[in-house]
Amino acid sequence: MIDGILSAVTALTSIDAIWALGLGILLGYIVGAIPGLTSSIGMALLIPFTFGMDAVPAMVMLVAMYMAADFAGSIPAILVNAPGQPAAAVTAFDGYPMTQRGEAGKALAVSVLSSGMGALISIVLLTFTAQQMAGFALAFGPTEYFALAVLGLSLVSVLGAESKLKSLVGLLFGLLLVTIGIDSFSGQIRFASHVGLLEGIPFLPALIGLFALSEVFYMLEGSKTKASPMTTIPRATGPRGTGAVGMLVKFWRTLLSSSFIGYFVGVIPGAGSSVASLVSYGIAKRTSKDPDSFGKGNPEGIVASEAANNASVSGALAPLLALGIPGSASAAVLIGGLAIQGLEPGPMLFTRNPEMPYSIFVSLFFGMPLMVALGLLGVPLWMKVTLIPKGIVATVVAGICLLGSYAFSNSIFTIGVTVFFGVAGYLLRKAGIHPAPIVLALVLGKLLEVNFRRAMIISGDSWTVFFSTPISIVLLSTSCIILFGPLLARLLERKIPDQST
Amino acid sequence: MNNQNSTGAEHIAKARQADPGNSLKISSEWYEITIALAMVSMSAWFFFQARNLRGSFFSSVGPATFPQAISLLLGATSIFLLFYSVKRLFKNKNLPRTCIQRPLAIGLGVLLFCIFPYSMSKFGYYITMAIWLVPFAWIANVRKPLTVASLVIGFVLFSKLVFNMLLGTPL
Repeated sequence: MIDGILSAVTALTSIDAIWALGLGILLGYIVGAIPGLTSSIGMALLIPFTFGMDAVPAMVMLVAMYMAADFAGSIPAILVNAPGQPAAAVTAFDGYPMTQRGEAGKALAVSVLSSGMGALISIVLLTFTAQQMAGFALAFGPTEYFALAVLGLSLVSVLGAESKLKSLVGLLFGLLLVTIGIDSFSGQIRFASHVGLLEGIPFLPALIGLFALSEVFYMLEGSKTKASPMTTIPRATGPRGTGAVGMLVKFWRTLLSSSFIGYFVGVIPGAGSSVASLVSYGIAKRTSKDPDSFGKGNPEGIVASEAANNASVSGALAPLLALGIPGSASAAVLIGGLAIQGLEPGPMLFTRNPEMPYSIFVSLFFGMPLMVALGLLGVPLWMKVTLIPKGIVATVVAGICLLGSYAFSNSIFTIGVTVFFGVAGYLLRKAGIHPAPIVLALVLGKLLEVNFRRAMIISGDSWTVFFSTPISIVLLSTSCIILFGPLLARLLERKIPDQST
Repeated sequence: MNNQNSTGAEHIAKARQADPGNSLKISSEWYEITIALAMVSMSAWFFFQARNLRGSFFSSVGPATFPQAISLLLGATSIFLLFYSVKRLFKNKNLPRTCIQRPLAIGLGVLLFCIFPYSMSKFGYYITMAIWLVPFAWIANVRKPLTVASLVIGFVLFSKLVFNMLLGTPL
């Protein structure tokens, strides 16, 4: 670990890496502040710009943007109750009432400082746990990887926001699309009617389409309205600085517990920052001495939400770097970034390219003070960003989508893929099927099929191979409980009242 | 606190009411039924196409197994979705609606995106993008000529500077 950290520090002392860190943070703030643009959209659009860059600066820029976008999402949430990121909606519960009381400055400072502390604690956790996870995963064979992919996919389907059935439909849709291309075992061409599909659906153009282009259509719908409800920039009034630090000291238990909750929720595939902040807020409210004050401007609510949602960013990176399984849709986007640099996430990343994961850890650690400073000092600038008309944002994002998908392989076919997935993503979102399960299925689908078939070949077609190791038994049993548990519980609930009557 | 700024929730409500006439409203159930039927068709196509694949020499699990299994699961879940949507359709009178605001703008947007690759094959990236951004900005309600011109020039220069000059990726 020490060697990894030292090689990372060496890699980060280059001008390219420092510029990449600063630029990533700046772009992350801009993306995070604008309602409608999320960190996953920002990262999907940024990846094509990393083509010509070295691996370390490219990944540092992407990860910095990922974290900074979560920092920035709380600013419009607190000032005008319009969260820039979905996870910041929980911050608005108490942040906006504080603004209404004239304590906007204090709310913003508490938010930024809580985000910073949450992120810092989670980076330390990430540095220590990712290596352990990777070491553990070195012992994984095809059965364990298959079982892990099944667990990841079952969690994604169950944690679907609107409807579990719709999440499952999206997931299976993604898994079916993954089968397109040349079969890696037999060399047969499967469902590929165009030469561009022989290597499967190009992941980055599909990602840009599903996340960014589908959002462009939503922006076109609302382009007659401004991105932000503000007509003027509100002043961040109220005490900042020592008042905010005092709040953090007062609620140190909530800060610490929320950081841990955020990190471990972030590790779960499909959970993401929104679930982390909701869970943490709920727990903080239940354990608070004054639970009724939550939702009415209690700074402890902001601490719980912001510490958790920023800690979940590092949490999502842990399974991604150590196992190759993304903990969130944004982390799934990072796989595209790693693939462009010729890197494959997983346990071998720590042995073959140790400077990569450690560069991410170290850059986040050193980038944290810059993120906090920009958050505290740059509020008027970020709020001006939200005044950019939606039509201009939509036009620029549309242009970047086309530019990025073309630059991927200088092929017109990939633009067609982006357009297809953009339209499909928009139509599916209207039906309540979110792109996130589809993207996670595109990532995990190959892992699932390849390891399933490998295990069957090795075992001589014996299905019992999946129950031959303790790890795969535990993972598969957990998946079954997650998938079928709620259904069984509901059936039992119906049966018990019937029996009592 | 500046009272001229409305809250986010009020803003979203106002945005939805902003142009009530310029929207396409479909019953959510019918929309879901359409999507479910599309998924069932897709899974059926994959299932029957997979039958043309040769089996594996090494295992009973061949190249067709995974696609067929997933298409069966997708078909089954889509049928469940179809069933629940039809059930809601007959049960409820006041059904929620799926709303597409500014449907003409959305349709034109899709058309513009479809035209882009064909134009690129004829005129190249820079000319296509410079021309394409103008109608797109128009349908995105960016109507001031100076703003549109700035967007077009700025974006094309940005593409040239970043990709060609800085990253060395020719477009």
